Amino acid sequence: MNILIRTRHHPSEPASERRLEAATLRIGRGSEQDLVLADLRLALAHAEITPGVGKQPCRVRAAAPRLALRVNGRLVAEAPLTVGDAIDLGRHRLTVLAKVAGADLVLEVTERHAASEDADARRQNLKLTLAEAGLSRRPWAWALFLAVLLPGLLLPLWQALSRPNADPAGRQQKSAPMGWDISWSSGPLASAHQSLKNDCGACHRQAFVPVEDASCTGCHSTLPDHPASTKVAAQPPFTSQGCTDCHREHNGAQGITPTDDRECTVCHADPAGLPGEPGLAVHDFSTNHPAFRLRLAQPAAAGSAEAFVWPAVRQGDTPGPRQDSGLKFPHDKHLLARGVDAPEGLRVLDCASCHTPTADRSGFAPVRMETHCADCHRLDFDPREPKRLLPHGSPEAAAQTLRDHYARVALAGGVIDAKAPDAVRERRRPGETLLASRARIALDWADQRAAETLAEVFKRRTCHSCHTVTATTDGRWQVAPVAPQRSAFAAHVFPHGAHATEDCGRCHEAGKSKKAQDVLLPDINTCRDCHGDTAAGVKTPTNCQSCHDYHQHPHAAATAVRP
Amino acid sequence: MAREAIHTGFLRYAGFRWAKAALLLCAVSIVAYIWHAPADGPNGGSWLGYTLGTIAGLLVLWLLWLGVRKRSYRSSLGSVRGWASAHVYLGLALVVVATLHSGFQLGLNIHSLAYVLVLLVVGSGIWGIAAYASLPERISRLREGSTREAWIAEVFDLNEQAIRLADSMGPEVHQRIVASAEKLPIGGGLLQQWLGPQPSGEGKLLGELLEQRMAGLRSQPAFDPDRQSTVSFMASQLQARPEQDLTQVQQLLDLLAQRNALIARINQDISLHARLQLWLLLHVPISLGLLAALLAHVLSVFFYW
Repeated sequence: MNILIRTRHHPSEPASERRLEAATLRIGRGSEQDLVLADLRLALAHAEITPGVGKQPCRVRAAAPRLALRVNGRLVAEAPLTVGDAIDLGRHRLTVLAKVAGADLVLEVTERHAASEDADARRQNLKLTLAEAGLSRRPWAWALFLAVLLPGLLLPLWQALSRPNADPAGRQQKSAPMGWDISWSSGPLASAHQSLKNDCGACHRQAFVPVEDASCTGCHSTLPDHPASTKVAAQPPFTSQGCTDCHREHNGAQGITPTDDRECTVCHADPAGLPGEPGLAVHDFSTNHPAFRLRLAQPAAAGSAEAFVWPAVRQGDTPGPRQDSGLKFPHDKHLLARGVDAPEGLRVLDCASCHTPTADRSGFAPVRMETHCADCHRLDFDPREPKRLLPHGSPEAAAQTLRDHYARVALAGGVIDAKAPDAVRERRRPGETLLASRARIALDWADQRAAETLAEVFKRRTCHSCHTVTATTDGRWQVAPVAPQRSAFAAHVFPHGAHATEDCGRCHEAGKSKKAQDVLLPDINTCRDCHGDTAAGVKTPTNCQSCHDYHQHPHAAATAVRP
Repeated sequence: MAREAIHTGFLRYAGFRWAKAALLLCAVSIVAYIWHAPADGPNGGSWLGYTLGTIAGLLVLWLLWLGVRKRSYRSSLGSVRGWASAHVYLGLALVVVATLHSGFQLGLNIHSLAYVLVLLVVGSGIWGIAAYASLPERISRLREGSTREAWIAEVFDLNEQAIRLADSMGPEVHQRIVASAEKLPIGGGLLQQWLGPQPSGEGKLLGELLEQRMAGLRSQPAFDPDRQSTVSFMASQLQARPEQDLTQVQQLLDLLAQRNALIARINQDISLHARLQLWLLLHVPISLGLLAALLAHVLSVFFYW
């Protein structure tokens, strides 16, 4: 094999050439080698290049196992050589060049670095700092910056801006798919708003504009304003108030209804400057809350269109609250422990005998004569016909019933009554025709009996037991009107259902009440036995919303029902 | 004590001026938080929430600015030590301010991510303070006035001497010594720098070879089929030039022991420096993540006001 070796000690120096003929080119530090490389790191005999056979290229191999031989940077034991390959031996590099005439192999020998630079080069290869080990902070910093910015800001922003602003009323119907902006949600929505949880734009209609009332009233269109009067609602502070001042979303299980009394006391602690009828100052429930204001029935002044008025009276004022519904009713007599006289004997009554809870258990159905009283307070009038009853509710109808009854009795004859005329006492024979004169006598007696019974019923028993009855100058009877039953509380509702486990007598001293005029409603101190402020933590926590409704304030009076 | 002051002196800078400022900020924030107690519960949307949020946001930006400030050596805006001191104490105060700003309302959202990143950045910063409190002093003690570069130069020099010595001891020893000089176990990747070089087969083999040779030269070894070739090789060497070879092997072993002790010290130095830097690998990238989260947090809050 004819080999041409070009040696260049420095890139700027001209190469020196040497040709040699060898079967195998032996390379190493030893002086007996064909190509001697002065580098202590090399073995005496370090590598060999064997000629190619036929079309096979030359091959280089380490002269002994475990000797470091690098071809094109890779550590090898043996490798084929083609033009351009670089063999690194210590600080020398052997590059295979293109063949020239008369040479089977052309090698260029260069020094990668001079012997004096060897240490520096080796030093450069060491990784002594984290930066040299490729652990730079900058790429990680940029990667993390983008990893947060893209899903946390750019994608939600792109989605929010590209979403069409659809009709808000319609969008509640079906829940939207979750978008990137879900990561912007500051907390879960109240349970009632779950269908909106993925649809941020349902409430947040305009970018960089706080949620406006229109977002709420689109669905909650029928909620009344706080002051019932629209004139008051058009004045401050109501003009500057929005739904979100009290209702704050994204608080999850805490809900959206305000629970802190300060939402109310911020105005009501000092109501002097408020428009309309703001009432007394309220600071809290436990110590600084006005006595209850009750609306109790009172007969209206003569000549009024309505028979009753419901003026508001505050508990503790003098004279104390009394009501005059037009009825007589001694609670104590009905609640005797031994019971009351009933058709079947003694019947022990309790509150539930007359006061039936309404379906929603918020209050009680009105007490009705036919349902609750008539069992014992029977409207019979003729001991001989105890099943014959007077109609309730109309004196005229009662009078007519009596006249009809006694006319039938008189005309039928056979009445056992010594004072009655013969025409009434005589038994009638079958088919007998009563003479007109005798019939007249009988009917006169009937009218007289009817009038007597009417006076008896209205004046002394039956009607008189419960009603105030007066005789008019033209001989008729007049029953004083009875007030429809309605809730007495002027500013709040009392949830009876929530107190169903309590004994009625704990709040209502019905057993001692002798008159219907007695007001059996407890005062606020009775409530305070169990209820305290939310912050106190010693009694059942009670906030304004427990009794009062902001949007119905004062709450609408319960539908008046006639007894 | 004096050495410590060089690296942790920023903690005592100007009579704990910034520590006091940070404590005052925390105290005022906590008192305001307790006093405020808004009707709908503490949250970032109350006026105090916005105030604390603004303070926390500006703090984050200012703390990030240290990365810019420490690169501008010409700045006349306070000393680097002053900046470092303020950075540490106000960074710690940021945890209090940001927590109060959150009103302890956390969830799976970008806002809580920003908060968690604040905790991670400050946590890694505390690691950094701990590192700076102990490591520089250990580095100084280890170096004893010398430098790592001088040690490395010495290692290379010892390698040269060893190779030269091994050259006269036959190709096998030469080959082993060269191989060990080529693969110096100094530094390396993150784990090697942090925990020191992991033991590899090479070093053991070299030590084994030399020990065997020493044993072979001192006494006639027992026959061991596994070591036969090496042992017989040693025996032949011993027969040829026993006295000289024994001295050479001893010299070579001394050189290598000296070199390896130096390498161990260099690696210790590298490890201490790596540990002085490791926390920054978390601190700086997470800071940038926090900047992104902060931008998203602030913009999203007002976008969906």
